Amino acid sequence: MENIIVNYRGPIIFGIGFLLSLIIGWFLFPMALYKSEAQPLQYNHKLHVTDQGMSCEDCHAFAESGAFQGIPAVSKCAECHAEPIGETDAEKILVEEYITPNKEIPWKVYSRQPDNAYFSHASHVTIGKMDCKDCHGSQGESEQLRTYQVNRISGYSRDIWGPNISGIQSESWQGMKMDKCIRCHDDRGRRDGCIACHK
Amino acid sequence: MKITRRDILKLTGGSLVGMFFTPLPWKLLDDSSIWTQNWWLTPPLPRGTISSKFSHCALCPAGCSVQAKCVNNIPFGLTGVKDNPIHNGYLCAQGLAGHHLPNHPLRIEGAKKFSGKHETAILINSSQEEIIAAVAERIKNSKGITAILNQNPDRENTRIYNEFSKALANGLHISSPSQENELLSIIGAMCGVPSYDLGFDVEHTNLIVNFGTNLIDGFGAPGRMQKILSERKARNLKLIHIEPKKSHTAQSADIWIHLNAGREYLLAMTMINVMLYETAGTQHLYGLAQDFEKIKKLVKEFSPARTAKYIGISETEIRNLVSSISTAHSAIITASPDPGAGPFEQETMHAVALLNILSGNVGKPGGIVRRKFVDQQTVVKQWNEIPNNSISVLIIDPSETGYAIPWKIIEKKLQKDSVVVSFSPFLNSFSAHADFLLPSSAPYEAIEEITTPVDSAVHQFAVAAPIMSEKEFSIEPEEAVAAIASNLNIRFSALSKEELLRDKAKKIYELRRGNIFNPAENSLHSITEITSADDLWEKLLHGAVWIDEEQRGKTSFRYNFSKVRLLNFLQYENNNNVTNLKLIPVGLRGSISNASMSPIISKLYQEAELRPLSNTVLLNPRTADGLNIHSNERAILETKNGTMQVLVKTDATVQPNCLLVSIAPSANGSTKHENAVLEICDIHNDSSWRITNAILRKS
Repeated sequence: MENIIVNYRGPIIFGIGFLLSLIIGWFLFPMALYKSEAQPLQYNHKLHVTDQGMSCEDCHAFAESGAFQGIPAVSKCAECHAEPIGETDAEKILVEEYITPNKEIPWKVYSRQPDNAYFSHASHVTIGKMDCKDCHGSQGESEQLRTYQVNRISGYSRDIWGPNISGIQSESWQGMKMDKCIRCHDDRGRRDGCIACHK
Repeated sequence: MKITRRDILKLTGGSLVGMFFTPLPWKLLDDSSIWTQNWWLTPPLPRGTISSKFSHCALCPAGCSVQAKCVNNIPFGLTGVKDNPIHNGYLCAQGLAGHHLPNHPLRIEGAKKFSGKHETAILINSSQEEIIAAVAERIKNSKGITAILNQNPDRENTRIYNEFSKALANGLHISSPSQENELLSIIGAMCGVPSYDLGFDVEHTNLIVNFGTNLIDGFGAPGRMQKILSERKARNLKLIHIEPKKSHTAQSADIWIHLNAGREYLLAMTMINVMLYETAGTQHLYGLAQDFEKIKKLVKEFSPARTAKYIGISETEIRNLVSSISTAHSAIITASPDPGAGPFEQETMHAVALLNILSGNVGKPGGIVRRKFVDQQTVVKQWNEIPNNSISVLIIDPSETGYAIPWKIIEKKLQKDSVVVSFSPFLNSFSAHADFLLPSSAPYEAIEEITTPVDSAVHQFAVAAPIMSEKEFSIEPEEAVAAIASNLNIRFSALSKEELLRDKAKKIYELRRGNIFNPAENSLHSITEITSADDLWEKLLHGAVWIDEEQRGKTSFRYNFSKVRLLNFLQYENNNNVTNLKLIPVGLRGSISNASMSPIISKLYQEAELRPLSNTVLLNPRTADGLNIHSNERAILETKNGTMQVLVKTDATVQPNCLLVSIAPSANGSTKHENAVLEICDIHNDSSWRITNAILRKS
């Protein structure tokens, strides 16, 4: 054994360096790159959709102009939660910290895009016949919100790159970068210029 | 075990190799590049309420209707207005990025002057008062002409310029040497009607015979033309396109007449010959036209048998072309300047004008129609009427036609010690030659007038309402002219642009004629539903457009051909002694200068090769082989006026022996190299520069 170490000392040291890099690159680097941030309060999509029979559009509606409303305002929550329903911590925070003082909830948005990217939900849903799930996954069936992870360098959510640090995506809703938009547009025969999305 | 230096090196080597098998370097690269998009050097976009504003794009004569999306009153996106009956939602690439222009790197921020006349002169800061006083002083002591060059003379500020130039002893208000409505001006002169009262009735025509004009996106209002051409079958419309190169319009035409470069005059004259000597139907002109017999005699020598070989098409094709015009219920024969190659020679324009008249399509619905009367003024002189070396002070209005003009044409008219003042907000091919720069507002910062495009059978009126605030350092041309007049103690009405436009809106309201399209309500109403002139003005400020009624029935004119300028066959051949290689500058309306387009558009051109960059020569592969020059090689382009270095690109759609040289945009984003090819072109006496003999050789 000692002979092997002596004879192959060089390759072994090289291999250790190689292995160390793999450990750092694949495991330690993602841990250092992303910072976990808690959402201001928990939210149970499943409870609202399955148990209360609400649809996605009840909260994430399109305005008359066709513009997507995005995350609902606290006034929307107040329609049902003006008084606490239940005794959970989240309910208490919602009513006391946001609904009563009429303060907007500072949700951390998993799919927030750069300012120069213009995305029309209306045209993708109405003309493109896309389902919410195609980009947002099974968010509507979740019982609690995932931990929000922010990229320390770029400042964007981890969801933009996708959960796998390699960039390999196994589901359609993983990753929200421009190459994905282009690929999808290509697949559907759309030939849009830069100005279609970048205003 | 002792750790040696070699062990550390091997460990480092292993780590480095291993690193490339992890996402770390690639992800760091990606994240760092994204970080630079949001770092502290990039100003953050304002957050706030998203609002919509309607206005018009004043970047070219099309005047397309736009909807601006704004955050906190700062526009972040422009789109066309889908239901606008004129533009049908069209907005070109330059127009889509028009709101970037106020932040253009070539913008002139404040009054400036050049330190001298030579190439090494630099821009130095000055003040508006200093420049206005200097120009006034110069006018006072001038022995030459004080001229105002106005590239868009159909606007209301023509009144101000006319008033100012008339008040001066040697004042002149001059139109541009390259105008989209030039054909209408020539026809107007023949029938005694101002050009702004004539229009191409493209909505009702059955045939368009087009001499080289880029009808698809470079003529009149492209939204209207594209809609009409896409509905050709339903409208029973045919497009015959006459051009040596296989342009976008040539590809879309029903028939493409692929004539030899520079032979448009010969074709037009031969068509007139066939019309007068082989076709019945021109008798309507007998007695209605002065000097008709003189023209008939001159045209006789342009028989198809004599000219066909020069034109490059058969006699039968020429006769078929004339037959198409004669048998069409209505026809329009168009010819307008090329954004790069400039106007056709005067004789060609006069021949095309005659074709329209002789075919009986002037004054006829579906042809060239007379618009209903609207009170309007026009310029005093055409550019070609000005003698050389006569202008001592030249004031250049900032409006642009979208067509290039070589500086040499302007320079020819200037005296040696002349003074040039530019009101352009940008450093472009004109202002770069000025002595004094008094920048006006950039697009969308101040109100602008939108005039009627040439392809409209009726008058229109709209304004490009500002969608962002004006900069303190800019001065409106009308204001600057009033200040110069005040320094010269000239009594002057000194109306602001807004007052002039309000006044026009009032006159239109009083006509009680036509309709108003209001984009905010997406409605088209009769003007009689408008309650007051102020109400009309408010609607115009919010993107509305007034569209006049059509002139019904046929209009008869008495023609005067005494000023028709035609060449006989011998004169023509002497003027067109073109050797093997012909240099033809090319461009696209509105893309003739880096300063008139957002840097994002010139970058797209540069990186995507959507359009050839300036100083790129396109030539047929066979011509390139003959010259032993290959695509992507650098070469020297030489004319008798000078040489320049060009990048060669081969293109099978280019006619053999033609060198198509793009004038703009320049790759480095500066004004220095754009339009450089125009400086080595031959400038003719009629201020045209279409074709120049050239040599191309390896550099």
